[in-house]
Amino acid sequence: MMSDVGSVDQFRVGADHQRIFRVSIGGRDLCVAFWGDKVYAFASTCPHQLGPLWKGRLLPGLESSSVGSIRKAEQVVLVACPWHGWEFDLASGRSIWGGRLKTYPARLEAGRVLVDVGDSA
Amino acid sequence: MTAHAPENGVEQRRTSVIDCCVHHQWASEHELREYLPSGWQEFLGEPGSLPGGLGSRPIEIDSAYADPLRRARVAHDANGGDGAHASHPTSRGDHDDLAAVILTFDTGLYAATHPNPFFAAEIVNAANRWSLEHWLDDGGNRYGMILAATQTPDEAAEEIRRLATHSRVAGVALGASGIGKPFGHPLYLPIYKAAVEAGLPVMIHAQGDRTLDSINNPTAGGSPMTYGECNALAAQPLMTHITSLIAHGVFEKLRDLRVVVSGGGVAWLPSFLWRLDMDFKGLNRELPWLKRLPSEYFMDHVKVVTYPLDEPPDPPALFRLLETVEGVEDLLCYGSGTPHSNADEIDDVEPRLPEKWRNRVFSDNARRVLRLVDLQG
Repeated sequence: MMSDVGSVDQFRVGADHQRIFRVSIGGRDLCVAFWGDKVYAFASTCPHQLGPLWKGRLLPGLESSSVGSIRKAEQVVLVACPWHGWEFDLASGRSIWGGRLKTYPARLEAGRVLVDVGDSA
Repeated sequence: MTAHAPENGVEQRRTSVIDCCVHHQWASEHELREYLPSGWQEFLGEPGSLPGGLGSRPIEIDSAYADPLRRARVAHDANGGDGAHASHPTSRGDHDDLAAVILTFDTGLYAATHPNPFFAAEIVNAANRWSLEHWLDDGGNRYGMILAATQTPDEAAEEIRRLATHSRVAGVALGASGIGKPFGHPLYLPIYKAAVEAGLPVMIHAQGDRTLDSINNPTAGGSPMTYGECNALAAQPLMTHITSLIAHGVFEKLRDLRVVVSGGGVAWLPSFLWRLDMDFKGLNRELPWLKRLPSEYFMDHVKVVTYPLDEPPDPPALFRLLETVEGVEDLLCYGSGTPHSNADEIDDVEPRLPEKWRNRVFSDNARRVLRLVDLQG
C-alpha cells in the first residue's frame, strides 16, 4: 500500500537536492531521498551496526575496468553510512561486501512522494 | 638445537617435513668476492692491503642491529664448542633427514638496501651463483631462493629468468624494498611477472631492511635502537608489504602470483586480517578495482612461515587465537629460521600447534606454494 509522505518540495531542498530525510510511516522509521529526479526510500539504520543513515551521504557509484582506473557510474546511487562508511546500492539494497539494506518502492505522483512499505506497516 | 634420537616414529615424521626458512651464509666476504667480476673486485679494493685490516670496502653494508646471542654462540664454537651454532646449518647434517630444506640467505638479504644499485645487482648475482654452486647443484634435500636486487626491478626480473631454470630454485627472495616503496608499487611488477612465468613464489623476509644505509625504517614510526626491538616488531614491514600488494591490485593483475612471508611469526594474522577487511568495507571507494575482501586475496595468494613462532604465557592461547581465522591451517608453513638465536626446531613447534594441523603446516602447504621440482609425493 502506497503511503503519502509529503510533497516533492519538502524533500528536494538544498543546492544538490541530496539531503536524506527521516520519515515515519505507521510507526516504521525509514529514509527518503532524491537523486536527480528519482526518489528512493530505504531503512533508516545500517544493517552493519545500526548507524543512522539519515545522517549519511548519497554518492554516485564508482567502477573500475582495470587496476588503477576509476569511473563514475552515474546510474548507480549509493548511501554511505556515517559510522563506518559501508555503502549500499539504493536500487538493490546490496553492499558489495555482503549485507543488505531494506529498500522500499517509491514514486512521484501529482507532486507528492509515495512510498510502499508493504502490508505490515 | 637438539640432536634427534633415531626413534622410528620420530624419524618418519621428520622425513615428511619441509623447513621453509634456513639461512645460509658465506664463510667470509672473500668467498663471495670470488664470484664478482674483476672490475667490481677492483672497485672493492684489496682486503688487508692497508694497516688495520683496511683496504677494501665491505661487500655487504652492515646491519645496525647485530644479534648479541649469535655472536656469543659463534665465539663459543670457535673456542672448541660443539659447532651447534655455526652459520652453515645444513653442513652439519642435522637437516639431511627432512624432505626439503629451503635456503633463504642471511646477510645476502641486505643486498636490496645497498645504495649503489649497480653494485647491488652484482652482489646478488654473485650470491645467487654462490648459492647454486655451494648448496644446490649437488641436490640432496636442499632448495633455494633467487635473491633479487629490488632497487632495479627490470634487472631483477632478468636475473630471475636466467636462474629459474635450475631445478632447485624454489622461489624468489625479497629482503627489502630497494626503491623505498612497499612491494605493491607498480614498479615491482617485472619481478612478479618473472616469478609467475617461472612458476615461482616470492618470499618477503622480514629484517632484510635493517641495515645502516637502508632507505626504509625496519619498523613503523622510526628506527628502533636495538636488535631486540627489531625482532619484536619484525612483522610490521610484512603487514605493510602485504597490504600494499592487495591495495595496488597486484593479485588482480597477476592471478597466479604466490607470496610467502617469513620472519615475523604468526600471531599478528587475526587482527591484521580483521582490520584489513573492516577498513576496506568502509573505504572501498578508493580501490574500486578490488573485487573481493582483502582477507580473500590473502587466503588465496599468501602463506606465512611460522618462524619465529609466538610464545604466549599460556601456550594453547596461540592455537585459540589462530583458529579465529577460518582456514588458517592452510596458511602456515613451518620454518625453523636456523641458525638464528630465535630459531624454532621441529620439536619446539610441534607441541604448540594442534595435531590435526601437522601435515599441512609441516609439509602440504609448503608443497603447494613453493616450486619443489624434484620432490615427490
